[in-house]
Amino acid sequence: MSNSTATPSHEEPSDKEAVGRSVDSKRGRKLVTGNGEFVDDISASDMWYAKFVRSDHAHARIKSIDTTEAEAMAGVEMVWTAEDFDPYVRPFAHPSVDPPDEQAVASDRVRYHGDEIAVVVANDHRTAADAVSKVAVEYELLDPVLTPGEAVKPDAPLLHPHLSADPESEVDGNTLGEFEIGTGDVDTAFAEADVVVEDTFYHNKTCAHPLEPHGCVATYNHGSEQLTMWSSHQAPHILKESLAEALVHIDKQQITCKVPDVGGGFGHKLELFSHELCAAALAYAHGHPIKFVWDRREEFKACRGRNESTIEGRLAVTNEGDILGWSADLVQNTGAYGSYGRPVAFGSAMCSAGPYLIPHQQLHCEVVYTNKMPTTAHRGYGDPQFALARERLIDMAADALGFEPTTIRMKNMPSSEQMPVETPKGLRWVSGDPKECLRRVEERIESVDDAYPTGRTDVELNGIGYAMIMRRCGNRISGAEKQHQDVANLDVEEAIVKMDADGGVDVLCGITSIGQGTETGLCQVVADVLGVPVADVTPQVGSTDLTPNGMGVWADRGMIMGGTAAARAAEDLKTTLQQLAAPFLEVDPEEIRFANNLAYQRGNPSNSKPIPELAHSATYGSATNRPTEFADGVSLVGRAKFESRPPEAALDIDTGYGDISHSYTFGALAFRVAVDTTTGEIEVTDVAFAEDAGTIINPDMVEGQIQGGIVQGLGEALLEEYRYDESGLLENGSMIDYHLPTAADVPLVKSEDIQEIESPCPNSSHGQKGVGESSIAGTAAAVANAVSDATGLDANELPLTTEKTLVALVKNDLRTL
Amino acid sequence: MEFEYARPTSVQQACDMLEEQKEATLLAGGQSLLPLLRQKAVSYDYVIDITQLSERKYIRLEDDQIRIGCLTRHVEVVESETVQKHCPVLAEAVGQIGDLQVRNRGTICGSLAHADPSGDPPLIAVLLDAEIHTRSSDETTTYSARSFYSDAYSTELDRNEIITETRFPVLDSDQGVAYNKWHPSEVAYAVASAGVSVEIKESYITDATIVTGAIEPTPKLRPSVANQLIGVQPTEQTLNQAAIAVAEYCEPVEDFEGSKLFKKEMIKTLVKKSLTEAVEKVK
Amino acid sequence: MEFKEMLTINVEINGDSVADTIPSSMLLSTFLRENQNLTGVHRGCESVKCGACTVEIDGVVVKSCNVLAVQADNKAITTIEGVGSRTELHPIQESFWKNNGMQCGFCTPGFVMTTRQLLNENADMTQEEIAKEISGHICRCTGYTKIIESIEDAAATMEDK
Repeated sequence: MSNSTATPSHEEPSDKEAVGRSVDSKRGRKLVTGNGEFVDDISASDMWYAKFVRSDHAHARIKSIDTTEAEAMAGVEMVWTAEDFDPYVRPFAHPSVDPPDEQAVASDRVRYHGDEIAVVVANDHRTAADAVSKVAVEYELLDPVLTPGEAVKPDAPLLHPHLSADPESEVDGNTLGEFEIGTGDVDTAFAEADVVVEDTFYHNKTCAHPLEPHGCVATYNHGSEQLTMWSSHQAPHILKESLAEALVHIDKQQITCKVPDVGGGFGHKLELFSHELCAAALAYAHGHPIKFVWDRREEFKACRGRNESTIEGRLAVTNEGDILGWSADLVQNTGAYGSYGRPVAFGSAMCSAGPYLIPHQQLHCEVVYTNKMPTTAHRGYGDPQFALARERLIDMAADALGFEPTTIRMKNMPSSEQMPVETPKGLRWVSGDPKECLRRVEERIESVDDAYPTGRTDVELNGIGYAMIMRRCGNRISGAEKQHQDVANLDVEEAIVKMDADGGVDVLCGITSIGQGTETGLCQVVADVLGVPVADVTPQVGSTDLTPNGMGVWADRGMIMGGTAAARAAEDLKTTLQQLAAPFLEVDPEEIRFANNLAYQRGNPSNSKPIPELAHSATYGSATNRPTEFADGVSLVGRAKFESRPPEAALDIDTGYGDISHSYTFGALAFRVAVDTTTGEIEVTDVAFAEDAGTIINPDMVEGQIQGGIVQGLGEALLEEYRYDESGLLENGSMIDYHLPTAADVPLVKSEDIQEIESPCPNSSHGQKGVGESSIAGTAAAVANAVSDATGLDANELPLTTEKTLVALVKNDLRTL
Repeated sequence: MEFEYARPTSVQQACDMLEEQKEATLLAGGQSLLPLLRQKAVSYDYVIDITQLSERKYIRLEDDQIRIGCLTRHVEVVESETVQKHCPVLAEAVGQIGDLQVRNRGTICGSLAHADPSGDPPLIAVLLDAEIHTRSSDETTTYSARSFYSDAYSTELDRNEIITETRFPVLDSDQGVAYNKWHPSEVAYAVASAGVSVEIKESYITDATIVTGAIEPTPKLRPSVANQLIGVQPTEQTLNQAAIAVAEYCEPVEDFEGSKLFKKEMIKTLVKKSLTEAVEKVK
Repeated sequence: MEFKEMLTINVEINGDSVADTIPSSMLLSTFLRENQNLTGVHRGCESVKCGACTVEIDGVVVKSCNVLAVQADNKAITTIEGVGSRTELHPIQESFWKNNGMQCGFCTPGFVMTTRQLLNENADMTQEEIAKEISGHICRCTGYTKIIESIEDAAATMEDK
């Protein structure tokens, strides 16, 4: 900890020393030295190791499971099946979000290639892994359904027949949910439009594959009756709640969930997974610590990810370029279990018009079960699929009308002067400048001078493509609530800021650190509020015993909700410090400011006292020197809870009209591509990105998020796709066959390619909004537009592989040799 | 995986062990073998690690051949001045194998023995008709690369043979050789590849070899097309025709990486590109 | 000479001499992580693609999941734990940290190891060359730009020294 005693000066110090600076990651030194503590690094004495036996088939009834050979192996403690787990567990799902369609392990049927059937428990992980292949499962094969089209046929085999038969459940056949939301009168809009463009769009099935596999270590202390769950997870409080609901013998009060270092999440570690439930049950039943870590082969089968979707979209426009109507039919292939299926569809449908003010909208969504890997809250959360359809249609409309792609977009977005705006669907945009975002990327992408950036003059087609994004920042609406609902308390986070006797500060908050840097951002806002060096502030996050209740990191919520809670908790502590400092500085508490590790008199900074001395006196000083209200002791603890603002328009679940987020971020993307007409290869040669996410707390980290999001988006747009054969077996389930981008496959996205507009948000501590998903949400759409611009052909089906492109060039006489 | 392991220090010792334990497999760089063992795609009870064989790490120029010892790593081939000077296409092709870490460890002879349909070294070996020298307990044998590959992951090697050396020809001054492959990402296996060697004298092609790879179980020579180029001047038109003709002869295996149509079209492009580059190199 | 299922190996790891008796089929990554407690060696895949297990053997980087531990007999190994010292960061580590060349940190030890070999051999690479040389690593968080910039910055720093 530093012992900074800045020389008092006559100049008023700045209270913005940390916010807005690229402060180094608080976790960085630990991680770069190889001293990270990831869940697989945890060891405990008497630890047992668990591994799943996973289904070899996409859809089958389990006739029998013979565990004798496996259990006879030296070092194998047991092999548990559904029968063994049954007394300890209940069916589970993300609380209040998904139908309860998951079990610890399959009891009578498996529903996708990789579904969990049994758990091998052994004394070391190699034995456990070897024993898996010795478990003999007898299957009665059922026909798999792999597309929504197959799944909704009247005679299709049902994945969840008991849910379908249950009148309380929304599940109908293989349809998990179906809903229609909208506003205005689309039929009239389309009838009266001058131009209607329509097409069908397909987004591929992908997975973000965080580099660290899923895993947990569960211990149960039979004396204290406490379960401790270490898990590579994004939201320990949500995990705790889910475990409590799913474990028969263990209540919430008995559970502590702790998050160690996490090697990436991207929404794939945001729910209760079977391995966590099974590890908890086994720890409870047997009293040994249980380590349950996946390997990458399992990750490919079962990590969950983005759902493949088909969207039939239509836009109605006037000759002047006004977008009157937007209608889309989404059919979402949600995989074998619900897992965020409906919330993804609902939330993204609510925001599917993007930043455009479209008076008439109709979104019809079907979320359908199939025998493929389930999907989840994959970064982007349904926005990439709608963005593809919407942004492609806008380009098509622009083409039909003879407008520039940017002109038609500008025409249909609000300017910052118009804010606040209530959109036709009831969203309330309080601040932001989407037009400036688009202006900046257009300027940047056009400023690249080279007509043939790759230099291959006569065998190259060049194009530019744009996409706009409007992102909700944190929300809890799942679309499953049956009643009309006041969306206050939609999103919430709480923080505690405490100062020790030497002025060192800890920030306790329920967010987690999964690489994105929120824990560092919290320290920055607290440091500025308290006027202490950011080096003296330590984050304490990701632990349910240590921090107040929280919701973890997802939906770009970390700094807006957690950051604001932390800043306000720091304000609370500051009030105490002001009162403490008043007698020393001989001024009223309201006259006292904090900066450079000093408490000083406003307007007279040489009248000051170092904050560490204040803290010391609070702890050790005689009570006679304190204000009377502190006679019995001074608590140097500040606290605050921050809830999302009450909505202007309460959400009507049936129509989808209403405000569903605390704030909204705008983003614009532009890509320049070169299509090689000899090979069909698409090279992204230039990128421009501009975003209005309010005040940027840590520019370098935000850049890192954007760069990472764009590259993930490029992988999905150009390289990645889950391939299943006709019996539903995964064909390309390894890093050899599923092509994640390496550094040599993607362009650099440099600092100068990224711009932040920073219209301050009035509803957060420092004007910050949500950051992290605009980049990935719009990348595929913008790239598709660029490819279409280059070739003159449709680019409506992802991924835009070399194969698809070369074959299209051949068929359209554009291929050169 | 579980096996018993030995690490002989001489070729004779290694051959004798192989003779004694015919179900053993040889381990050199291990970059191809270990993944198969880990995935249980193959299983062996005995592994003979030959990385300690003395004096098998060399690249020598002798009798118009580049002779490469069986423990020479890919990275050494890539960085060898001898190879860069006398058979640059070999350095270029080997430089495209996998990634840096794999090239630091894998051996070129191991790659030739592994016979991966997408492998870079097997195609170059077939293209240039490299010699593959082997030893067993009591015999030495020389194989010609062009008759070495019988099927995917399958060669003419007997169970008791060890590749001790491979020999690539020194290229002539009027010979141009080029190699191109297409893979979906930087470190992915090739989905289609082509190698071309041409000899040009006084602006006429006097000799030509065309090999395709990755689309079928083994690298395949395309002699009928190559022979048609002899006596021809290399022009845009003649090279295009040759590329189109090669694609017609191919019977690519369709899989999730590409349809037959796509692979044929890509082969067309790769052959054309290789022909153009090879011709350019002679100038 | 006999075939053996268990072997005793002698290895130098991060400057320390180590002897251990291990199964011949044990992977080097398993030996380092589990027998030697060097948990900075990470496991991200089983197909030799992700690079998170990268270590240095006798001066060159390899993927330790694709080497048998017994093949490290009589060799000198450096893992991330041997880079820099207990109190001082190596310039490459300093650069990755200061330039935000890492986010979750899971891939980072591997990148640092490869960067060490690259900068030992050629401090003067273009960004494109760097990108090719590090293509044996997967990162899901950063998009690679700040990794490449960290490597460039480390090269410049080390050249100054």
